[in-house]
Amino acid sequence: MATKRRLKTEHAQFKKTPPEGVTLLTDDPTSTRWIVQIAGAPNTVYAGETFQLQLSFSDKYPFSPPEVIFLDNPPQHPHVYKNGHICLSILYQEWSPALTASSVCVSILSMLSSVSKKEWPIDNDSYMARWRISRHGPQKTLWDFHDDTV
Amino acid sequence: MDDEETFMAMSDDEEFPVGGSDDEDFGEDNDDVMVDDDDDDGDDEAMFGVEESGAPTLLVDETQCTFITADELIAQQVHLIKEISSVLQLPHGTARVLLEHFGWSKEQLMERYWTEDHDKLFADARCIQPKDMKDQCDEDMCSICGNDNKEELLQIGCGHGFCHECWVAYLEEKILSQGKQSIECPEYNCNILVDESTVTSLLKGPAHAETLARYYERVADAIVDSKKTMRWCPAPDCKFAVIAPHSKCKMVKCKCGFEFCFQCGQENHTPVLCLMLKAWLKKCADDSETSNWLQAHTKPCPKCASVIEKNGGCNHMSCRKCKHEFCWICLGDWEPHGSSWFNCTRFNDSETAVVREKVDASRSLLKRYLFYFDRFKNHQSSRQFEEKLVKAVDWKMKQMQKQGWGWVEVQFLIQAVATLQQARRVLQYTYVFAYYLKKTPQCLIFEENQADLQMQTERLSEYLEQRAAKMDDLHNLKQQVMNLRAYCEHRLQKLVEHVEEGYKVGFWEYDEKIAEEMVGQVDEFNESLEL
Repeated sequence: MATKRRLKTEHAQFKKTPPEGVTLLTDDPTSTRWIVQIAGAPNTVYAGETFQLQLSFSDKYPFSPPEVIFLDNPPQHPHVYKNGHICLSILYQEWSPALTASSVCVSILSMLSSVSKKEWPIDNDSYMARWRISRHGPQKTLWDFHDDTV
Repeated sequence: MDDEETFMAMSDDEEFPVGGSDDEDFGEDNDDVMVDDDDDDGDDEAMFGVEESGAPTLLVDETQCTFITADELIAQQVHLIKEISSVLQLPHGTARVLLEHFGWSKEQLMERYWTEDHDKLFADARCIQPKDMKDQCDEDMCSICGNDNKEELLQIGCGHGFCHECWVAYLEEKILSQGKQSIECPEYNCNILVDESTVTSLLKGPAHAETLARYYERVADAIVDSKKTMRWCPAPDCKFAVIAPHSKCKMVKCKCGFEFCFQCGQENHTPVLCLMLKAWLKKCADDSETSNWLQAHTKPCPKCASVIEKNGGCNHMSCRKCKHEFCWICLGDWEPHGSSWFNCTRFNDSETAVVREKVDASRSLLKRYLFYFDRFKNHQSSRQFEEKLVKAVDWKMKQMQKQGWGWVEVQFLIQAVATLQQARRVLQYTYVFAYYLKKTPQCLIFEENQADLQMQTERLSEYLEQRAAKMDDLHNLKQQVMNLRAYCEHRLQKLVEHVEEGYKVGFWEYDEKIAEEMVGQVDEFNESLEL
């Protein structure tokens, strides 16, 4: 199975050479649900804080993107909703099968690093209200992306 | 007696042909078809064209459109690709990508090809110039699965190699799950498009037949979408795309017989304009779950009116169809929002209060709405019942021919049914028009016209339904039917002419809820006359 083979390779690679500030906490190489810890970069508003990401891989991975959400206390960021959903193009429309779990985590970390102010998304309340009813995962959302710098 | 029984059997049959598809065979004349095709504003220059024709400009000219199927469209496209490929000395795949980039316009491609910088032209079209095409992969390994068998790797000129298995899985995901036909190289940040011939060769064999068929459906859709003068016929199971003479075309009649509005894709809705109809249909569906959801989660693109869904994400929207960028909150252009994308300053409490007020007001108007809705629905269901008349009348026509009448001589019956169906349809939509109209003296005239048309329509309907089959004095029958049809057509013309004049001269006053938008649409409608 292509998915299993690829995840196994990625898992080994991730453990062996983790990107800076990113740690893969899941030890089981056969797991399709990984927990990754990311540490706010120094000299950013999230310096000293750590967050946990959950990456779920479907059997269509890597042709469809992993579902990535923040667990528990997500960072206060204009692209992160209070339920941990992340508005980041590469997790949805812009996903490429040539991307990896590790590169996704790096992108999320750099997304955090690029803001100078902690803010929730402007539509957080309405998004949360709808989500409380639908309980849809973030991939059910039709996202629109605008800002490549964040 | 045999015939009588056949007639009964037919009347019980519920599978009646959809009205309109049959009457085409009888060569009905153009006057039978109403259209908002053209209308005019007050300026004399444009008025000229209207007066010249004499008949209301809201008529379908059946000769104006041509029709094409998806297969023909693809064949046409193959032909065009071959031509471009030989003229510009380009590989087929490259010619195709370039053509698609220029909206399948040979002229545009040729002009730009010879005048523009090729580096930019090819980059914009997301394809590789033949001179820059790589003949082997950059890496010795598939960057999706890690397969390092060099033999199996395949790239499309950009050097990003993937193994066959991964290519197929990637295409399947794009085509089947995402419904795409414009597919980029799987590499992240590589926007080079996979050309049609690569897709076709990768998806060879019966195992992928369904995926490939889906792909070609998408390809045909994309061609139709790219042409402003083309639109799929919305009738269920109709395979035709209608090619209109110009993009502002209003009502058209498909080869299958279905009449629809070229602008909004709804059935022929003379005499109302698309915007009114859209507002009306939205209102009608208000009680259903779907419409509640639509209202809550979708907004029309402010530029092209495509329905856009958003259930989260940032407020900077870009319409996938027309690429217009706007703010979800205020629906204004994105431009003025600048870098303050996280906070739409054009949205404030007083505006939301206004919205709320409007909602309350519409509740109190419910009763009024129901009055119009009831009549709208009533004509709609009458139309469905009257579809049976086509069969009944067909039987009567055969009967008459057996008694020595010529084929041409009996056509009056089916023509009367066509007029009846048309009158019903127009009547149905007059209630939409009336609902959004303010009570002015002109509105009273309109209501009189509407009442007259209604009366004539009912008389024609009653006669055809109750008496026509039983009538033995056939000459008398013909006389009666022709008279009734003529009255009905006359009333119909009067009504449509009056509505049209109102658009032109601007004497209609609309309900506040819709007035502002209507001004724009009436202008647009009037402009289309000049084409």
